[in-house]
Amino acid sequence: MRHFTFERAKSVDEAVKGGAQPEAAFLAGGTSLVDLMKLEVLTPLRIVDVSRLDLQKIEARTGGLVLGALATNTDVALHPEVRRRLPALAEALLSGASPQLRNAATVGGNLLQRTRCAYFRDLATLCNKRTPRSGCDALEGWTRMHAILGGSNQCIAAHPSDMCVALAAFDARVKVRGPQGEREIALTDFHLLPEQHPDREFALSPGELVISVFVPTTAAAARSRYVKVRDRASYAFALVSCAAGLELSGGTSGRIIREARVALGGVGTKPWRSIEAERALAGQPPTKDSFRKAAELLLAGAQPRRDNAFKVELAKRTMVRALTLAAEGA
Amino acid sequence: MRAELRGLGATLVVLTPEGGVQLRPDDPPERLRPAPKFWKTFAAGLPPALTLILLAPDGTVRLRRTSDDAVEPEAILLKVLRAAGKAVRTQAADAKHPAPARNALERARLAGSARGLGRRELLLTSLASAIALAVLDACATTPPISEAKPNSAIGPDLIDVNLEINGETRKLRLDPRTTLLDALRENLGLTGTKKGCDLGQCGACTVLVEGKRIDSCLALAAQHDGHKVTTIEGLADGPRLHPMQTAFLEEDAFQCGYCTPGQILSAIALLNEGRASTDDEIREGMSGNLCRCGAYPNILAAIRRVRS
Amino acid sequence: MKPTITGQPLARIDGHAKVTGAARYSAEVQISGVAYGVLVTSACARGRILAIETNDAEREPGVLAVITPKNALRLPDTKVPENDRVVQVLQDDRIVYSNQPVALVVAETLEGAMHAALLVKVHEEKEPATVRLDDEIKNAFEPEPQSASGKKSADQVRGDPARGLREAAMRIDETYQTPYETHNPLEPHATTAVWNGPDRLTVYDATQGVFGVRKKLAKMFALPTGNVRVLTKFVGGGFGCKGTPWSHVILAALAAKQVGRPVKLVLTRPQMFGMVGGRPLTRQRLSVGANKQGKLTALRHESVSTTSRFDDFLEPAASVSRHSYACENMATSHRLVRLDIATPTYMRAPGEATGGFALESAIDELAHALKMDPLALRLASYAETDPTEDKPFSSKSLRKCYAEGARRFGWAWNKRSPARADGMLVGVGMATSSYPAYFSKAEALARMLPDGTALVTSGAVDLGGGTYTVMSQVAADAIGLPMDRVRFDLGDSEMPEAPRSGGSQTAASCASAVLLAGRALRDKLVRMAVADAGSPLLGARPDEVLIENGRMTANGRTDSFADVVKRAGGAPVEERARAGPDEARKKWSLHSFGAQFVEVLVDPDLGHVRVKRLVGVFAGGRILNARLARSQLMGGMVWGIGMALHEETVYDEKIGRIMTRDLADYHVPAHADVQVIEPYFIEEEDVHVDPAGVKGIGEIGITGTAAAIANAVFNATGKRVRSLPITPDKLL
Repeated sequence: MRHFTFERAKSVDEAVKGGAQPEAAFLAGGTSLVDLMKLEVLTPLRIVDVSRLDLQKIEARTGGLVLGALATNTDVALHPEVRRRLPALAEALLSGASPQLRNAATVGGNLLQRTRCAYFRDLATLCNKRTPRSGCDALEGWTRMHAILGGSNQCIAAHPSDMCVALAAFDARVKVRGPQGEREIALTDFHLLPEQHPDREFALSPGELVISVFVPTTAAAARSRYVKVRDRASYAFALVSCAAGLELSGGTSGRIIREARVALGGVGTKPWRSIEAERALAGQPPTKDSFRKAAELLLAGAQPRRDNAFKVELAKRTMVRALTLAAEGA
Repeated sequence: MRAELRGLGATLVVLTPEGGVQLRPDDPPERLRPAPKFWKTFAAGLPPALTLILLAPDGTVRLRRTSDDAVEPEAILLKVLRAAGKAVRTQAADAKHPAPARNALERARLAGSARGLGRRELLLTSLASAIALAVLDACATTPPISEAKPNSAIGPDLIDVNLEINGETRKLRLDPRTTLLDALRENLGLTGTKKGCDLGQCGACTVLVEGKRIDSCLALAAQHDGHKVTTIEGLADGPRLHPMQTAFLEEDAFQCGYCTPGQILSAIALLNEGRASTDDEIREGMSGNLCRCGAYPNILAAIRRVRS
Repeated sequence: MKPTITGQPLARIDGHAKVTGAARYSAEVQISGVAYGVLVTSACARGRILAIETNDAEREPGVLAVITPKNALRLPDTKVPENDRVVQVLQDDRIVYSNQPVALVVAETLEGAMHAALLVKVHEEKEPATVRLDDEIKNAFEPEPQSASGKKSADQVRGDPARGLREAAMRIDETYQTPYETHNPLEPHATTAVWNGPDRLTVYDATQGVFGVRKKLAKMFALPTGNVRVLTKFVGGGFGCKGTPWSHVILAALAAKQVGRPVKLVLTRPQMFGMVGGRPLTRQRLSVGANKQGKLTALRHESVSTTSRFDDFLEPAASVSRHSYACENMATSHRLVRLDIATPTYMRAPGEATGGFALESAIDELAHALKMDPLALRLASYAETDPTEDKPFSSKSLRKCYAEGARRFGWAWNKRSPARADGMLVGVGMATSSYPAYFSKAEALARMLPDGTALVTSGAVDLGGGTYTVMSQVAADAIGLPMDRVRFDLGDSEMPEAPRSGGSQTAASCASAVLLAGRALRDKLVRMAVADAGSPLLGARPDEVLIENGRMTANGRTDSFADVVKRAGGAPVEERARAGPDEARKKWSLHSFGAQFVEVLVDPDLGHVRVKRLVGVFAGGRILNARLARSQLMGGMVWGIGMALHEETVYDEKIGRIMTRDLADYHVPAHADVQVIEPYFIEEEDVHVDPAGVKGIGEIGITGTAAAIANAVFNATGKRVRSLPITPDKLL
């Protein structure tokens, strides 16, 4: 690790002030930041410890949940209202990392989680995300874990978060506070596509600190599931994952999808919400056929590479599975 | 003490007329009964007494110290311990900062030379402090190895961090870059917490912080200033093992033992979390702790045993 | 005397130290004044170091030295001992693989050393390199016999395989591939080196063999062997990668000498990929023919495996086919291909794990083609004698293993199991396990102390298999003492020499030496007693003296070991013994065998495979401690799950670098991957294999497992996966 100064913020204002200094970084759970600091992929000069700020609360309001930026993944996943009103989020969180990491990792930190691209994490390789315009070894390298959606000629690193996939599907909004005050960012706008600037990953200005996340809890959210496919049964990043929610109308025999929510993980350079697929599902019966058609639509623009071509089919199947489970309401 | 002996390349022999104890730096203490042959030639003509001998690697005597009269080994060790303790305390009072215990030796040496003692006395003083440390080591739940690294080695930006480790407050002056794991292993000598990957991918470094399990490799020590930390060294109540430790022994829930401290702490936390009612829940709840020897089924059995 | 303690399922003697955190591994030995060493490694796979900028690193506070090929101490001898791995120890500017040591930082603190290592800037001149097997397969060559395991020649032919294939009623001709794998013991490689003067070196090393480390250090630093002491009291797993001393061991000693301080060097997890070996990639072609009854008429097994440009390591994958099935016409061959990779090495069951996957998959394919129960097909070609060497087996209980495994598993062959209500496909499969019974020279020293306790030593290493415990058991029986009055110690090159803990040979070799030393000590004490005027046993015949719990009884009179020693002057009474293979052993074919049965669940849509139940029955000679033996077999079987479903070291073929460089990208089985594992054993009495009657069980657990799982996946899905691991993408 590069040398840094360590300061503990006593208030949000103090944190924002510290975070706005050159080469500063907020430290919460540390599971992502300390990891990348050890590899010296990240080399902040100033660590602002925000972990003791009073931002841990999880509030269940009418119409939605407010997740404090410092609520741990464990706290959110086990919260009874989260489990009841947005099961996909609880499932997503529990499918991520390990109990130890979930005890430390926070909502805010998870929003800011960096890619697990093996090239990004290896200083001996070329990476445009680490060093803009230096080149990317991944493009013609080992791409099994890389994105098939949202990539550019600069970067195809997959977004690693499970939580963000569930939040993206259900219209979450992120409240941030910075030197210029507070503002809200839709979760789907929070993460940026790599395009020509893969080093810019978040729609945040210097010093802006995540305060909380609001996620509306709709009927579709209550009937939601998260399915994750990975190389081992636990403690692995997603090959493909899918958060899906359905609001159904009609009786048990002639049910129709009133509203659908779908986002994919493991396949996109950001959490991959598809409004197009959701629209295609609306008005359809909740059958495997409708699900498969929507999945075909979603993946139509996929740009697979040698090692990750399987993700196109696997993503479709995962989406069908998640929607099927959501429809079953299990 | 072993470290000091190792540094000297020496063997310590404590002799009584009936026999004694020999300690080589890398072996368990060897009881000598009766006194070895070399002692008979070496001590010919001396009155029967308790003697401390320091042997060089080639067997030559580096230091010999004989007590005035025949006493129990415990008594002379105690005597030495008291003398050393006094020396350490005197030094601590002189110093601006609390004296790191590992430096006690150096301080004792300095104190000795300041008082104009000869080389023999110096060595004895060193040895006395070393024995003191060893005895302290045996008495304390945690070994009192250096609480802080030498300042010159790190630069000026050290920070003070207090951790309550296994019920004991430990004051540390650390490089801010120090992780909780390295603070335990390298600064406090609590090596029961293991480093397997140093990247949050194996769970060998699992400790409880404020009762919750975390990977200590991804936590900065500074971040946990004032927090309560439980490590494997803090589980047993004297000779009485924690039930999870006993269960791991009984179910043979480990082989090489390297992931074991992390597994045990993780298992204790899992049961406290109350999400271990089925085998599959236990398996999932323990998946953050890799075991390369493949002891998983026995780990599961150990957890089941404690749960019921 | 009949053993009473050996064989008992006692708990581990070292267990208490392990569950309390008191056990100190090689990086945990407390040494005053120790400095931290951290390696800097190469980026490219082949080339030359043009320059190394060290200024920034040297400015980091607390840095004691930045050692590069330019300023590193010159080693008196850069050649490694025979049959040892070539190392890269900063003596020249060559880069021969990616992630190779190119510099070493030594600093006062770990934080300082880690950071400084990243501040070292290495300028490399890249040369064309390849890590692709296909690029170099045209240059495949036949390896020298001495580098092949067991010093057998690379190629063997018996009968006329071509004719056997022609005349077969059914033939299988398929190619199987096993990937690069990395051992990844949980404890990283670690070496702490302490110089006591200019020519005396003590090293605490995470190794499987202290004598190999001593030999290499002594040779390369030109020291008398006796001046180097190597200690390993606890090691956090080895599985082969700690079998030979790698570059970092030499470099730790070099650095300690150069900076004049003890140096502790621990590899980071990413540095564990390459530099310390791994399982090579194998590509194996199996041509198998059988008649209508399933009797094999031909078996051809051709294996190609990878090695480095600068050293030969042969994965003897085809060897397994030489001993497994009765077949008149057999051919086996091994070829090596050089690539710009680090030298691979032994990894749990080298040869048998990889070769067994190919052979046992092909046998299953043949059974399927013949519409035969795969177990019946195996029995149809059961080898009563070794089919290649024309020797009898010293013991072979495979038939019992098959029967017992089938019974316990409930093996009932049907072509396809029905899917479950939840849509999961169910499949069953089986395979044969086997591993050679190795036995090497070993010595032990048994010493009776005047208090009537015994101290027995032999410089083996306990990797977790239970050496501390089982040797104490063997010693207690041999001497005639209860367990609590025997202490067995190991892991020190000052002790009598034992072979490295690899090849499942420690129990056989070390236990034989301990047994002989213990008996010799017992006999000596008896002889002393009957000749001792002070003994109540004076004049008794040694053969009429009965021994129990340290007491000797004859004709109603009793004496004790303690009293014999005391009366003789109180100096410990000791005996040293050596065990090792003799000529008579060569008359036998010596192998452990077993059978594994598995049930898998496969998600037909998402391709996820779950090993629901794995039953293995193994015959490995005498079992010294059933509890620990069970654990070790279980561990091998879990490794088999990893090999089948998870493990693969992946190279970026363009830059020649391993990209799965940590435990998030290199998957070993997690707890949730392991469901029901049932290891059993058939006890054998084998008087030919070694004095202890032990064949070893450290490796057999992984052999055949991957094939059994692949066979079960085929049974569930109809998809035959011939290239491991069976990841979800291969089943879509």
